[in-house]
Amino acid sequence: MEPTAFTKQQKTPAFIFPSLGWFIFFLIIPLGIVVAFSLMHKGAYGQIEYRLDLGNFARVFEPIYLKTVFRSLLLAAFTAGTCLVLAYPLAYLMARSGDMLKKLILALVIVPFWTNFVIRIYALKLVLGENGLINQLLRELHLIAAPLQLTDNLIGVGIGMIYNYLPFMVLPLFVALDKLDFTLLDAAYDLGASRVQMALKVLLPLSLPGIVTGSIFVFIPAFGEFVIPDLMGGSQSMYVGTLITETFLKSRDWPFGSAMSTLLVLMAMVSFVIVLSRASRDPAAREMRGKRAEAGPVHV
Amino acid sequence: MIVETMTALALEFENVTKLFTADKKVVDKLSFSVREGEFFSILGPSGCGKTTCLRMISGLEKPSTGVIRMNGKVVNDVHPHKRNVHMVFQKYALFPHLNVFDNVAFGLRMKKRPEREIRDRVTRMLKMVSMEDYAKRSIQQLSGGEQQRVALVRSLVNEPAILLLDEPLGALDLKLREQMQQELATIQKQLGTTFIFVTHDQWEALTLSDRIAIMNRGKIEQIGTPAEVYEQPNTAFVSRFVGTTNLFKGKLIAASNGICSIQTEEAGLLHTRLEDGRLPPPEGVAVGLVVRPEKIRIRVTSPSHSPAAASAPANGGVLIEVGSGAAITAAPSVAVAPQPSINVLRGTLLERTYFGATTQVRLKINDQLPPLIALLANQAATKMPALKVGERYYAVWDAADSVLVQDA
Repeated sequence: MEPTAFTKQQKTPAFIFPSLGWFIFFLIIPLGIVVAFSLMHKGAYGQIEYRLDLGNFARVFEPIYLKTVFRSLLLAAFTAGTCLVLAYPLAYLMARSGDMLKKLILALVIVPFWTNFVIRIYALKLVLGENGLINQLLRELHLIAAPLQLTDNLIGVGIGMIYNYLPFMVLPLFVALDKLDFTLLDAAYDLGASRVQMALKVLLPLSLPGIVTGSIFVFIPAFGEFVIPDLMGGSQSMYVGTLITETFLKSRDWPFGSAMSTLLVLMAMVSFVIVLSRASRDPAAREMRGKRAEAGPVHV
Repeated sequence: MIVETMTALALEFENVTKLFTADKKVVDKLSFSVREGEFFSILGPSGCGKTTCLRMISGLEKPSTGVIRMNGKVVNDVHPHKRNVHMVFQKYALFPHLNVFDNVAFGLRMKKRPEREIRDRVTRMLKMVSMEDYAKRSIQQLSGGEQQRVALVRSLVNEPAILLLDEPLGALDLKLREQMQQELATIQKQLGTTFIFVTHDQWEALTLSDRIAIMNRGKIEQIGTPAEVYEQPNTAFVSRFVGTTNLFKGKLIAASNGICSIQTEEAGLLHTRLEDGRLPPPEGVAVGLVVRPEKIRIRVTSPSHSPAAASAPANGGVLIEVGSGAAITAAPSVAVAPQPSINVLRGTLLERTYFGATTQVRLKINDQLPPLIALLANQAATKMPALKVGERYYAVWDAADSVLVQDA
């Protein structure tokens, strides 16, 4: 094919240099530093000695740390799973409602992002606290005698995680469902499918790309989350994120912290690649690949 | 059409009314029946209630009052899945996550048929539409016509008693649509399935159907064969909706020997012959007179003024006839006064449009009437130079070629 001005321009797209530069300076290089630190030795006073030490990675596999990793995986899976169950009906409702209602719900989903994340978690802590809104309300209604313990424990962590990550599930699901041709459900019904069969044989496979994207958006950050467990979980629970922060800031063991961070990033990347390659093998996902690209900006 | 009365009725509507809100009748006291194996079309503008009819047949909607019967049994309260009725959707609604085979097999799988039977039946159906080599293709790889075929057999594989088709050809381009019309008709004849076809495309309905119901504002205006609804429209609406038409409004002033005379304000006295057996409406009633463009002939001189010329057109070229060859026999009697067997109007030629096989002309009779449209066959004997824009001509048609309609 004769190269046109347009295709030539596509070969050297100058406009990607700013973002490429950004990624190199603020992602690739710091990540390289972390990986480099993870292979070095910690000095007696917390300083980094520039000699090779693979012991950092070996330590990660000690039972106490593995347990923490496992607990984090569990929390991330719980968060992603619960968010999926809660978000799916909402996204479905949004996709099927009229323009006004659709925009209204969309605005309600996005509005929390206008407030700083840490402030929101503190506010949530107050609402859930012993003398918080919920406990007071329940006592006024004489539904409970003593206040419920809703923060500084696992319940608090769960509520905080779901509260924070729900929009990241709703938005990709909404994008996937909004594009869905709902006459397909009529067609399935016409061909004798029950409501359950309609959901399982048509709706689910066709919204799979949204489910995959949403789950990735929730699972990966939830796995490394440390602010919410720290603020909502009290003192007892330790997760990978908390562990890494403490290793860096309290134990001042940068090489070990770096080793944990490196493994965390690796795990996220591997699971990401597996999920995406599986999804792209599915013809429905192939058709919806454009939608995933559109779903991209929501995680900003 | 030999033992028509013996054929069973696949579907009957008896006074079916559907209200969406208390005073909004979407379908109003509809009564009609569809014979087994018939290709029945419901034709009407959007919002006329035809889709609601389909939904009531499929069971997705229930009639507010009235009775729907299938094979003689009342089905008002029968669940959609128990009706043995399937639908071909407007934009096919094929499942994009399934390949051609699995799309067609969907209905049988929902019914939990054995996998072996599914394979046989799906393969047979795909063969019927020459798609057997496409079984493993994904839907996205198919052209519009191929998708249409898959959608058709996806319904037909379930062996429905009635197949509903909701404007299934609307998304195809013209050439493909004509080809699919052929195929649709062939398949319907081959399987003998009752087809109920909803469309707003008059030509599609005319070419495909055994019978057509023309719907307007929730009511059926006329049911009949394509020729009946085209040649003998009952109402002005039908005449306008099916084909191009010239409509004159007036009062019936006399009816004798099957000839009705209508006094119109804009075009004077016009005549029409009633079809055999039809009783004329009472005199003085407001009626319409309809004449199709291809029934009109254009002449240079008035047939009533030059009786001699009518029988001898070669004589000095007094009369130039433009139109079909039948024109000469169409003015059989020699009369001095305007005769009730033909209608004559005089007007100025506004415009001439060449269509290849035909030429359409528009003749301005007067300021009150919309221009008269005539469609003339392009034959050697009727070469066009004779017709000039701006000149005055006579438009002539037989009383028997125009139709009396109830005024709309």
